[in-house]
Amino acid sequence: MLSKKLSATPGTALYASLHVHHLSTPKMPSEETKERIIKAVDLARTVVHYGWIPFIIYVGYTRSNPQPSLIKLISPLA
Amino acid sequence: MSSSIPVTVDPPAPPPPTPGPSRWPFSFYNRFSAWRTSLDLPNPGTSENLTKEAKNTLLNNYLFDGARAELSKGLSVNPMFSVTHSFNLGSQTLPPTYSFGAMFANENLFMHGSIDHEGSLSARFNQGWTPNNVTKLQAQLSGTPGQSVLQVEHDYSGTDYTLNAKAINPSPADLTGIYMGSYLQSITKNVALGIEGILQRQTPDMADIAAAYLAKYTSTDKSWIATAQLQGAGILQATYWQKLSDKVDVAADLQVVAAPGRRDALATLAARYELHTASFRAQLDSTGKVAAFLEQKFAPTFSFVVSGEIDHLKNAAKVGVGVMIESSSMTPEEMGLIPPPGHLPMPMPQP
Repeated sequence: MLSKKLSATPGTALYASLHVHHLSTPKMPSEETKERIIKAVDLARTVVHYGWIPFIIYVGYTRSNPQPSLIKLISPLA
Repeated sequence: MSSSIPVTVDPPAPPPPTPGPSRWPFSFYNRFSAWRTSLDLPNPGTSENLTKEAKNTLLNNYLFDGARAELSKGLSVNPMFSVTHSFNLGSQTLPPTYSFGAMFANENLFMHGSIDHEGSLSARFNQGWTPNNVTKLQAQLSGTPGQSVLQVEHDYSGTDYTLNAKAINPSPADLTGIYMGSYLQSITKNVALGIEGILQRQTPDMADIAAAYLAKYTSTDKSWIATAQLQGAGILQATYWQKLSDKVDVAADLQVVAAPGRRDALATLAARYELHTASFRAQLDSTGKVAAFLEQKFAPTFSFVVSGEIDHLKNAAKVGVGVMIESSSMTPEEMGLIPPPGHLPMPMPQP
């Protein structure tokens, strides 16, 4: 009885049409989401571009045994 | 009461073995996997490393021209941490560059980064989750847009097979990018066969699927290896590698392009001599190029490389020289080779 009532309401028709629309274009986020994703990817790329080598040096410097001196780390001659 | 019923039920119930045939897929799977284990097939290695031995003997990846110097400094041994400064100049094709690199590695993590004077970065990150599972990331990031490359990869090595999934420049927004999957399976103790699928989505509404087939034969004593790779567009690559002695190995490589518009072939022969303090590679190919590469270690921390190539048909030559200096910032005490003087055992105990 409940299902009959639901199918009679216009809301389910709308839901069904949305569902079909969703099926016809799979996995396509809206333009807004797309823009947000592109912005996030750009930000991540910038962070990795400038932060990767400092990150390796930080990890290496703190985990090394024995800990090296900073001047030896950067200068090619020391 | 409950005890009386089992007595009556038990006679027909004994088929605990009969449920086996009734659930045949499981028993079949168990028998199949037991049979597979009994074959004791070796792991075939990754599809990326299919031609590793031949590539290591051929000197295409070693050849350079101009002058180069590489100063590397080991700052820690365990975990491994080192920085490198490298200089390249005088090349006919490439502008002079300076690049700084840093590397950190422990048992299951590897990180490497190298940045040149123009600010373009190449980064590598490998993480081993278990001995069988490795995730690899590679990135080339440059200041000019549209030239960055990101590659994400996962390797799974089973007992007698290897699976690999790879994505190049995947875009989460519209799912464009290049996606690859490969499966390499040992068929006998010597033969491994594989298939590789490539899905290219350059734009959201254009997809291109291609397949490549791989085959590898390893001799029983592993002294020679033959491989073949057939790509969809009529490209065949075949390699042969043989170890002649402890110090000498040879390799041959044949690449054939038989696409409708283009027919081409290239054959290469190479030999490698691995001596106590030096390694020497020589190569000859069917376009008339002769090349040689020598790496001489004068001291454990100093090595010298010379590379040369003569193109007889074009009458051109390329020469490269380089030095590699490795300096350790650690004193022998720090490396644990010599115990520091203060830690010497005291011969006379204090009263």
